[in-house]
Amino acid sequence: MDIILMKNVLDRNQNKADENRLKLSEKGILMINIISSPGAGKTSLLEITLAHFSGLLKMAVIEGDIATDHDAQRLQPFGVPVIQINTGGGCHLDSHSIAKAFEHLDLEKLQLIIVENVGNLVCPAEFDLGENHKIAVISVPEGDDKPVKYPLLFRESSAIILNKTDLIPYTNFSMEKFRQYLRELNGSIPVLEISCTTGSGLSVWFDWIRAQIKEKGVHE
Amino acid sequence: MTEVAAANRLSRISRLNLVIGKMHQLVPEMLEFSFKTCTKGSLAENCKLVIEWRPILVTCRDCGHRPEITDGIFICPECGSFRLNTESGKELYIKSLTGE
Repeated sequence: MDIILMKNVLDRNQNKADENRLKLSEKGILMINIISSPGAGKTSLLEITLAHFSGLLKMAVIEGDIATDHDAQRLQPFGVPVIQINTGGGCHLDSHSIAKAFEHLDLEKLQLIIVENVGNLVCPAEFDLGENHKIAVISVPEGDDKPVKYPLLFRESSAIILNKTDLIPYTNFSMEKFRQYLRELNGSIPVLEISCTTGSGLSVWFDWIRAQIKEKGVHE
Repeated sequence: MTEVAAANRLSRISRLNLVIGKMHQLVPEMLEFSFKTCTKGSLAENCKLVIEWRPILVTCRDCGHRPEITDGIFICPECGSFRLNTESGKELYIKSLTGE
């Protein structure tokens, strides 16, 4: 007997992601999902972002890690609610874990939620969390060919952050090649060149967040 | 699959037809290995997994051309635009199954 199903393999995740997105929209919250390899600088970027928008935006962070709450501890000094999710080996966050994190946040009082996904360039690109934007963070020592090796992430992201640009003189990273790969894969994507160590380029990142907040009409 | 089998009074699932778009970073051998492991001892033990790959098809927003992307370069070969809508290539669903 042949049975036609046409059933989305990820529908359990997708349905909850759609619910999350609707909830955020109702509450007037912008949610950004930050994806990178381990060590690219996601937590450093968060520290700088929280410090910059402290007192200006009502923020919360959802931290995804396989184990430990080291990253959540790093973010404690900023006085922002940080929900730590330990995936216990899972290589990505899913929409259900985000929905559970929402239960621990006062959504009425928030304008911006930043999700730090588990360090991985493959699976997080496949799982919609209900975010408004995925941001891919790549760091110079990883090499200029990351876009072609992980095409889905670079197609799905709204912006690319290239971190550790202060290290370019000490590596064989070619900015020309990096930009060429990105042009071929996603020609309209903004590339933000930054260094969390020297602080260069960060104002462009802050402006990008402000623009998204404005575009989304986040509540005051 | 268990629910579908129960609803249709199947005692065995012998074939599963999956549709996967080429945008997904799925390795068929790993999928087959995981499927075989997960279905061991179930109604779907030794079930044949058949994958139908869907190409990456886009429509150019500037000239309307509809090329297939085969080399990972998302640029319209007709007009050079990178403003492309993805029409196909992100599928990931179970199309049908065969049981008895």
